[in-house]
Amino acid sequence: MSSAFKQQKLPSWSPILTVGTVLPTFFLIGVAFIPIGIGLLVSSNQVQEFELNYTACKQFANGTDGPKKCSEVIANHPEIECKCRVNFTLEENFRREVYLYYGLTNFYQNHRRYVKSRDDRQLLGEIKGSTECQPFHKRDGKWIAPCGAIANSLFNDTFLVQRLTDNGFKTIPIMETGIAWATDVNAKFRNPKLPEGEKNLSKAFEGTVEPPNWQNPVWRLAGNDNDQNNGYQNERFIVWMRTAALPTFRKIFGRFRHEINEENADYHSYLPKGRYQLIVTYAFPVADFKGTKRFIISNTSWLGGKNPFIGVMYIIVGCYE
Amino acid sequence: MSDALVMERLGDDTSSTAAAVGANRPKRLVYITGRHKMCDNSITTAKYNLATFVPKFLFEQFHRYANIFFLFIALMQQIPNVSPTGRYTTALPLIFILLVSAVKEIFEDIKRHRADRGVNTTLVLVLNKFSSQWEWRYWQQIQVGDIVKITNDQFFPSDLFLLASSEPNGMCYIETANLDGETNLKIRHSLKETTHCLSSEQLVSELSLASIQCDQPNRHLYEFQGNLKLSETVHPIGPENIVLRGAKLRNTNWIFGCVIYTGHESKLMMNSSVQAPIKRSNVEKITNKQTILLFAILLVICVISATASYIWKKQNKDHWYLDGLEDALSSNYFFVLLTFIILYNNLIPISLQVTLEMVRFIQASFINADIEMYCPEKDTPAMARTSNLNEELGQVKYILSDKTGTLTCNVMEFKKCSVAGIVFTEHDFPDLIQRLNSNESESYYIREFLTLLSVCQTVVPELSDTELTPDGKQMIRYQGASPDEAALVKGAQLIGFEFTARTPQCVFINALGTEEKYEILNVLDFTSDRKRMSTIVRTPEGKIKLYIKGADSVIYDRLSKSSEFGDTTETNLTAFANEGLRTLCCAVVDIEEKVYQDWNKKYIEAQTLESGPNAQSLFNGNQPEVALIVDGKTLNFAMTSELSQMFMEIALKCKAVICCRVSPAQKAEIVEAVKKTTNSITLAIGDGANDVAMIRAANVGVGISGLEGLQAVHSSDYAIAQFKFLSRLLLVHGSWSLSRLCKLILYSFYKNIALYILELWFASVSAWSGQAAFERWSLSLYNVIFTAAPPMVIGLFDRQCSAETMMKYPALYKTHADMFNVKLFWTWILSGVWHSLLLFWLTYFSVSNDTLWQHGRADGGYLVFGNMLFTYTVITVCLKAGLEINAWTWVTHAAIWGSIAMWFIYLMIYSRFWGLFELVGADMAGIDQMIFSSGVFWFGIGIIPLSALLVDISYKLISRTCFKTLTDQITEMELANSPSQQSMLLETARLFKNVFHVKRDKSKDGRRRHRQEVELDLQHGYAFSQEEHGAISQSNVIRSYDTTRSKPSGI
Repeated sequence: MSSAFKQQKLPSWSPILTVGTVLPTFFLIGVAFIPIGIGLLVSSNQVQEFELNYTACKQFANGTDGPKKCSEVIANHPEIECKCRVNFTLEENFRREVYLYYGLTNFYQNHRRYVKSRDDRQLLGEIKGSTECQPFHKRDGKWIAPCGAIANSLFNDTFLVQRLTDNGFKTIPIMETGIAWATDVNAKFRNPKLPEGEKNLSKAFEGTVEPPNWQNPVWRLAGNDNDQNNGYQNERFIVWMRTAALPTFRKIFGRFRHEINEENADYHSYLPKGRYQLIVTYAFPVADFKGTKRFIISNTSWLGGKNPFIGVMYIIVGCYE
Repeated sequence: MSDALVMERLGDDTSSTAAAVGANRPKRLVYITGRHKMCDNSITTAKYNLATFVPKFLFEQFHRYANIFFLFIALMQQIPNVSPTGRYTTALPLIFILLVSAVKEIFEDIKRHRADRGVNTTLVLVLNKFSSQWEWRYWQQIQVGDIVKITNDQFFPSDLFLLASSEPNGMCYIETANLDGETNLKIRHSLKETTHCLSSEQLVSELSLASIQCDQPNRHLYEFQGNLKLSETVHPIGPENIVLRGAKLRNTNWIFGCVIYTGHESKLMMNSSVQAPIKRSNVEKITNKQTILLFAILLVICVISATASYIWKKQNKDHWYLDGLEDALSSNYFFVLLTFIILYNNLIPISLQVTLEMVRFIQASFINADIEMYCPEKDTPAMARTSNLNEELGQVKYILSDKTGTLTCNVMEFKKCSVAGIVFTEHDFPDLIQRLNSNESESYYIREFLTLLSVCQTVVPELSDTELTPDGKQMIRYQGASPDEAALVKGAQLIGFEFTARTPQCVFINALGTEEKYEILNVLDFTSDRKRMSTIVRTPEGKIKLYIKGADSVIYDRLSKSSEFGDTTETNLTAFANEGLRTLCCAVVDIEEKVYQDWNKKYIEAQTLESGPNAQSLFNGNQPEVALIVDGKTLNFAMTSELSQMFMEIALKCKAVICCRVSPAQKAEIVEAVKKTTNSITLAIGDGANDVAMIRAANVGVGISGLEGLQAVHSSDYAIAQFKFLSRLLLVHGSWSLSRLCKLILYSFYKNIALYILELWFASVSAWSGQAAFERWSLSLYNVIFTAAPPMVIGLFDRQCSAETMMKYPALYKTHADMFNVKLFWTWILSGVWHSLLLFWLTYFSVSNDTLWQHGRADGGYLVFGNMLFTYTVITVCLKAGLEINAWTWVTHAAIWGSIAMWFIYLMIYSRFWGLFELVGADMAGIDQMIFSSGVFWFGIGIIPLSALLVDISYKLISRTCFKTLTDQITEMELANSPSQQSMLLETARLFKNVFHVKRDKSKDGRRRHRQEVELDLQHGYAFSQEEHGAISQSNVIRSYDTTRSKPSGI
């Protein structure tokens, strides 16, 4: 080998692009790509998706929709809990497992300073934050937990989905777990150790203070004091902490909990068509930066959510060739 | 050589003025066998030593704009909060790259140090004046004033004043090929006053009080003025008494000499400027320019980004989640600009320099290893002494070649003869004897021919101590100033006419066993005017005969009308010349006693009136298709500032220009003029020290390594053993290196553009904040791991045509030489931009849903997008390399598929770092599983790189089909091997071939007959190289020898 190598006489193959070689290849690729594209397109079309922009929804108080938009209410009175009610209809049954998403636009989770503004060491179970989180690292002499701009801007709208049944609107339970990546849950987020014999998570976070934008401390992220799905290990929090690549993004909010709904066997395998109403606790301000908020119900195909783009691409390239 | 002599004569005429001037000049005073504090005799040609290495190396490295730029980036990255990619992502690669270059430089310099040490530790005999014994010393220990003894075939260790020699009159032969490139031997002699000092005792007793006064060290090879001061008398010393370092003693058993100039003060070293200039290739210069261009592009992009960032911030003040993240300082326009410069900095490929260095280094080793350029006779392979100019070999427009010894191998042999119209070749020589002994008519001619060869010559016979004839006698070896003559005499000896001894009046030959004595009446020296040498002898029978040999043109003019065989001999002569043999015509005439006496009287009268020689210039400027011939004197005028432009215009219109009798400085001057006038690449090739200046001045200097010492080689960039290897060096290695390096450089630009413009697109969707789309180490390893191999294989293995094809069709050379142009540069740059555009936006839309998995989880974070994009980019860039590579070897496959595989492996390993190591790779944790479990990712691999490359493929297809280049045609033809196409192509190819081989193929030219006599000689290359008007005339040389007496041993 060394001799052939040194004498530059390694056997070589010279691919030459000629009409005779390229066109048949193109043709074969075309023949293969068009069906693939069609297949991908069909898969994408099988995905059912319902999207609802609730950015400008009206305040819902005392059983009626008020004149004011929630966005304006919270802008003027951040302490008020503003709720919206939006009615919608699903035209067909949503097959298989169905997921809830929230989508934001014009929200730059990929801003250089924002992406950096977190402390992975703290999220592994420390009380102390670090200067990485500046200026969201300390408040009133206490460490902010969790520190940084990402945590501070945690999406804090909540959704309640109700279906119109013969007995009026009934809330569909939403599962808040199983929505974050296993790596994150297992390896990147740990609550600080609870003192011996303690059950109350607040004890683990003693000496910390919540981020300035938060209404509740970190140990109440799940709405209770348990250490299940709470604190740093709250899955919605974990999902938020994985910063999106693009300013228009969606993040999973929860899963419809078909299996435990005993009242209606239909929930077992699908989300039935019909009239629904969505109750939003509207707390996340987007109006200032002209962003929008969306509520999305979608199932998936084997390729994930609805996106015809890649199928179309295959067909176009297939046709070109 | 004639230059020196002309100068010397001028000196004689104006000796009074010269002396007056000389009196004012500081003189060097050398006491023979005394001690002096002067420069020692060690020399150094190495670039660095321990102390100078670091500053010199860094100075050289930071000559490259790219390195300055990266140093700047590395420093800027140390400012907190400015760098989007961490603090050491530029510094570490830069240090690595500098280290690699340093190792290479050290490696190359060690070789030079070794060569120097080899020279400095050569042994020589030096006289110890206290013990009067000869002692072995290293060259470097020699000091001014020392007396040294040099034996035959040794090089002179320093400039010496000749004291005595083994030959009559203190004569010695020296070979100065190293100094002036001329291969004929020259004669030097000692002063009468020292000639008799033939032993060490005599030297000590007679000369230890003598001193030499001479010029301060200077660079004039042919000038020397000095005096030898004995106890009472003063004797002038001229250049004919001096032997110079670099020359070699020949045909002389030994000489004694006194050291006058040592080491770097010797004339040879004064001539070769101590430091060889650092040559940079044209491609490198262009690359440097293009780097600046890229830097400009970079700045433009950075300004656009920073301005966009400024505008974005102005218009988007209400992104409350970003409040407080930026302080006043870091949102300053300048700092934002800096952030972007750091973000995009690798638009200028940091790895390019180191890749280039490595590729060139290996390319150079390919040259060194090429078996086709290995000369088994000399056991010398080709040697690339620098690797920085490989690509320059592919762009040479003008070749400036030293004539003597360069074009020929300088080994003279008697190959063929045509006697009485009958051709005899080497193998037929026994036949020659048979015919001689027969009674046929040609018998007489053969005898005369062989007698002429052994009688009409100036060589000196010597009994060899080592070689014996088959019958046990001492073999006779011939020594002479002209190798051609020696070859002829040796030829005659082998046939059976052995020249055995010479006395001042006679020549003895052994003709087929019979001892014959020829009395030499007159010898008419060879000169370049006469182009012939004649001897008038009295034969053993008492008849007077004139033997003459010389160039065919002059001999034919002098043949009598009645002479037979003229036409047949001329036909044979032409046939010989066509075979590339040097030719010589011989003739004989009987002279009657009376005619001779009359002539001899006139001849003696004429001799006393002899005038100085007249160098003749031959100027055939009106025929551009023929060679233009200029000699050194004419050139002096032609190169004056007013005329030089006109001269260059004429010269460049010719296919070839021959400059004869030019000094080393003039050679360099011509090179410089060609460089300046044409702005194109020149190559100078030569073998002697007189070519050093030219070799250094040319863009590429090639030295012939081999028999004649290594002076030219030491200053050359490439050394080859034989001139004929030059075509392979240029046509194969040059073309390949050039096209490979060009492609490598452009590809490197392309791949960085393709990746870093992605960052620009990403900036447009990330609030112009300077966020990198990729993980920082992936980004900085892009050039080091994931796309490092494809440029290497392009640089080492790519080729469009095989070596055989490149040699067969020199026309390809020209097409390759035009490879590196502005259009191509922009084509590649735009290709990079186009690919990044498609890659980014196609990926963008493919992931726009965020839910890429069946389990419904959305948004793997920015690095899922980033790493998908990165994967597609690596694949596209590697495949693009594959598309551009013309020859795929298994290494190519390994490089391209391996690079892609490396990325996947890296991704899998790096994704598992989190947890294994403390807080490393937080952003990358588990990314591989996320990406690999997404169907979108895999279907993206199938379509996104292909879409990006579709334009390239289509473009290639169209240009390949509709606009075939010569190279394409030849490649296809080689593959198809169809004979009909071949003949068509051959026509074009031959055209170029003829241009390239213009000198060698002349004899095939039909117009030959219309040429002037001068060119006829040129073609036939008549065999005669003799020192003209030397220190001692040829006739005096032969008259001073009596080989029947024994020589002094010089103890």
